[in-house]
Amino acid sequence: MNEVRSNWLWMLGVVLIAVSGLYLYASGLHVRGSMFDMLPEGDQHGASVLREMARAGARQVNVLVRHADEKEARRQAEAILKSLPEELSPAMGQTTMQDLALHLQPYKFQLLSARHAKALQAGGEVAESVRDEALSNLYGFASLSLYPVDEEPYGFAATHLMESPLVRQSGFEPEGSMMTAQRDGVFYIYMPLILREDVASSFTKLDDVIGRLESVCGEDVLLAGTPVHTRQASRENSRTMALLSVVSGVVVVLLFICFFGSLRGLVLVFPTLGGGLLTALAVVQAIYGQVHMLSLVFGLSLIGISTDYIVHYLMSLSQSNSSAVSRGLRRSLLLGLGSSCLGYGMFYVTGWEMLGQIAAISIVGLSSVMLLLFAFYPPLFAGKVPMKWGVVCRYISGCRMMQWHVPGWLPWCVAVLLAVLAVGTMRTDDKITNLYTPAPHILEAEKTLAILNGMEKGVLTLMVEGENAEQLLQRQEELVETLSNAQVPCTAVCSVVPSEARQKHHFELVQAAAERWQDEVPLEEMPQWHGALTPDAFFAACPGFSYLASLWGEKSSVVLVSARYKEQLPVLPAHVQLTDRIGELENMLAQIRGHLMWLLGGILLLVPVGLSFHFGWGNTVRMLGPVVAGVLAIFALPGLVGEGVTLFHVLAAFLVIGLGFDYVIFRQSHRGEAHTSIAVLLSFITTMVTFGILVFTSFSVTHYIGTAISLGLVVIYLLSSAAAKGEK
Amino acid sequence: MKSSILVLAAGLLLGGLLEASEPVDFPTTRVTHYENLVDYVTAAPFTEATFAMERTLPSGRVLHSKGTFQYRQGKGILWRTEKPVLTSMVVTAESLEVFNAKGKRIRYIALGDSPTARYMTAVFHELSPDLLANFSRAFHLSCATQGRSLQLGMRSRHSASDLRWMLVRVENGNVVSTEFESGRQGRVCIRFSDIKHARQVPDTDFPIVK
Repeated sequence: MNEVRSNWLWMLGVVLIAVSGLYLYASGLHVRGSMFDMLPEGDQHGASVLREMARAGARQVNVLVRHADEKEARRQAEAILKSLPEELSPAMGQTTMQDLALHLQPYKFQLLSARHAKALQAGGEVAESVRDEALSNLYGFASLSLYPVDEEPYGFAATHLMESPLVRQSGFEPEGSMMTAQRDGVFYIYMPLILREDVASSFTKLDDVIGRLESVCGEDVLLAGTPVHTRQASRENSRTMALLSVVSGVVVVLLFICFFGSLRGLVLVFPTLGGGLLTALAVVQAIYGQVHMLSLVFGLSLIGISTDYIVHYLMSLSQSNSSAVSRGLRRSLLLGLGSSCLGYGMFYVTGWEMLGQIAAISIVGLSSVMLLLFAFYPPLFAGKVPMKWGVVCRYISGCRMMQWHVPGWLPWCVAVLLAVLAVGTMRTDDKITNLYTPAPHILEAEKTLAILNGMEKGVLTLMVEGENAEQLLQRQEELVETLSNAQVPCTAVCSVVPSEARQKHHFELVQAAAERWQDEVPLEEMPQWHGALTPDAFFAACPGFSYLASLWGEKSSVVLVSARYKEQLPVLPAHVQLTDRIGELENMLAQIRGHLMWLLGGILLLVPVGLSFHFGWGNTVRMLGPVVAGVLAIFALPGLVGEGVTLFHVLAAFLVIGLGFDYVIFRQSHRGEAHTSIAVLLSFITTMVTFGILVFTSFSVTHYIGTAISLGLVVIYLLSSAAAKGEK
Repeated sequence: MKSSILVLAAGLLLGGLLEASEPVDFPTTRVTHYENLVDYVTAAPFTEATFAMERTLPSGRVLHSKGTFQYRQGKGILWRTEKPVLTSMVVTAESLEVFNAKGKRIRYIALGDSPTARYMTAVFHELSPDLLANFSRAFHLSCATQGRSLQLGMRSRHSASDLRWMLVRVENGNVVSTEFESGRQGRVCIRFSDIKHARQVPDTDFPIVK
């Protein structure tokens, strides 16, 4: 019967891995890395516009060629364009502009530049200048507008675009795929390039493509943009992580040899964890369509703790004549899994996608690893039981020092002390600048570009709210006019797509002009109104304007102003808010951190309620003490060395809770059994080796996670023996 | 008449860059020595000519215009359309201005310190082999010669650019005609006549109205 069930489980495990692998292979794994992607979806239009802006920038690589000699700069720029990796293409180009010109043609009588509109409105001789300009477009040797008006002299759609503040305010001069500028005797050529979408969402491909671009550009050319930062952060981190992985891998192998005297137990660790990860990713991809980088990293860590399940199983084999998972062990493992799932399941309460992803990865990953453990391990150890202990296990089991017990009240006293300490020392830190420091050459590129664009002091984001597209455009137009009166230039969608009301007004001006000069400028046909150009239609037809499109939302939109005009900003209307994008993100991180801290409290209340049904209240309170003390250590102790508590400390606290409850459940369920305390010790050491070592990484995020796990876990481990007492 | 080449080149730069397609009777010999091309055109600080322009719009509508052209070395050019409308365009290194029939300036575009403007300044001073070499970045240059006659063909290297091709005909040192085809402006043929050269550049302003 057992054999039949084992075969059935084995088959199920293989099918699970195969189906998940095939699904991921067919659909591809879509990973998102922008911090703005973490923001909750919903009615927060501002947040969604900010997220779209970040997404639009996520695929743009900025190349900046500089040289004192213009010819040399041009030669370099042209050489780069000729040898671009195929995954990169120039963001600007004649094709885009021609597409745009074609698209604007049906609206040629209603898209007027401010100059033309003002002249036609003034009437008289001033208005005649528009007529003369139109005629000179037709008969001059070179057209004055980039896109001539064809045979319709009053069609000024292209002039409207070329004279829009978007083009006029730029410090660069457009020239095909390049933008040129000169400053302090140095000639600059700026070439924005767009990464293919599949490359932008894959760290391996991104690293490869940017690497090839770097070799094409050489050392003197500056590279900037989100993908370049992503690559730097990922490379720095992966170098450190690779080194630490090797070190921790070697230590784990040595530990297994020392504890078990063989590596048999390790044989299936990677397929089991890999299978769990594959299944978790497939489920998340199927539910959400993509995975956020942070969910992935954190979910992976959570799955990593499931090695503890394997350690407990291997330890139990020393006391058993059968390789099957014993009833007692199965109950403890399922209790550990259940408490983790209950805890992470609470993430769904928040309704935030990122937390939902973490919950899904954790619950599916842990459950899969458990299933695969039951499926793969018993057959591997059939006939190899009871398993002999290694030298360390034999030493520990005979060493009284290693079998200390702490009284049940001690963890609670420690918890109270840590709580008092936390009140006195804890400070929160949600500064994004503390998370990442760009390399000097990337920083130089960003600064140079900002100076050339007149954005050296940063960008002010004005959020305009409205009920519909027309109201948004009208409010933008009012804002642009107010800013213009205060001599503050800005970037706004209404500069390219005016409101319907304004388009109609322009059309009427042109219609009146056409009737007035019918004899002098005969038209093929009188202007006809064909409806207004809308932002959605414009952006759909002109993908080259993706950055501008990102400023546009259904009920809110963004107007950008250089921060150098901060002091000149006029009083803004009620429906316009000055938003600090970085501040917005930091506030959002703080909000997420705050919610997660409350959720931690909720889990610490909810999980014990579940456990109390099995262990009774007295034992549950004893089990809870070490976990509470461990969590409080994460918040209290960093303050002693001047470190603030970040979102990543809080996320790590969830990991610590999962591990901590496993420790106390096993201590309580198998009290008096020597192999349990050894299993908990081995779990503790392997976790410290794999996660605690992150303390020494230079990348802030991993450093914070490492610090939090180390602090929390040491406290929980030292106090966990308090759970090994009480009534049976 | 080197100034005509310069004018067209400058005009095309202003009109937006450029594109290639296959004209019917196009010279096929690839240009390798730009110095030789310069020898075919008369070097004069001042050139004046009358022109007749025929523009066939993409819709098929044909527009005819006539007028006067002036090149003043180091100063700029004048393109004065006299029929059917009177309008003048003056392009210098600093600006592009358009005047209406009453001599009133109706458009001013400051070229300032932009790279395009600096390129045009160089063009207005001298037609050097280096500048022609610059053209070869955007165009495939080809030529056909016979005695003192030169046909210079320029086909855009970039499929996306607007100007498809341009053909310049030079006879006895003067550019006598030029043709080009643009996706937006249609096909344009300009014929020059009454071409006069002088060693002295006039001190007076450009004659924007007749």
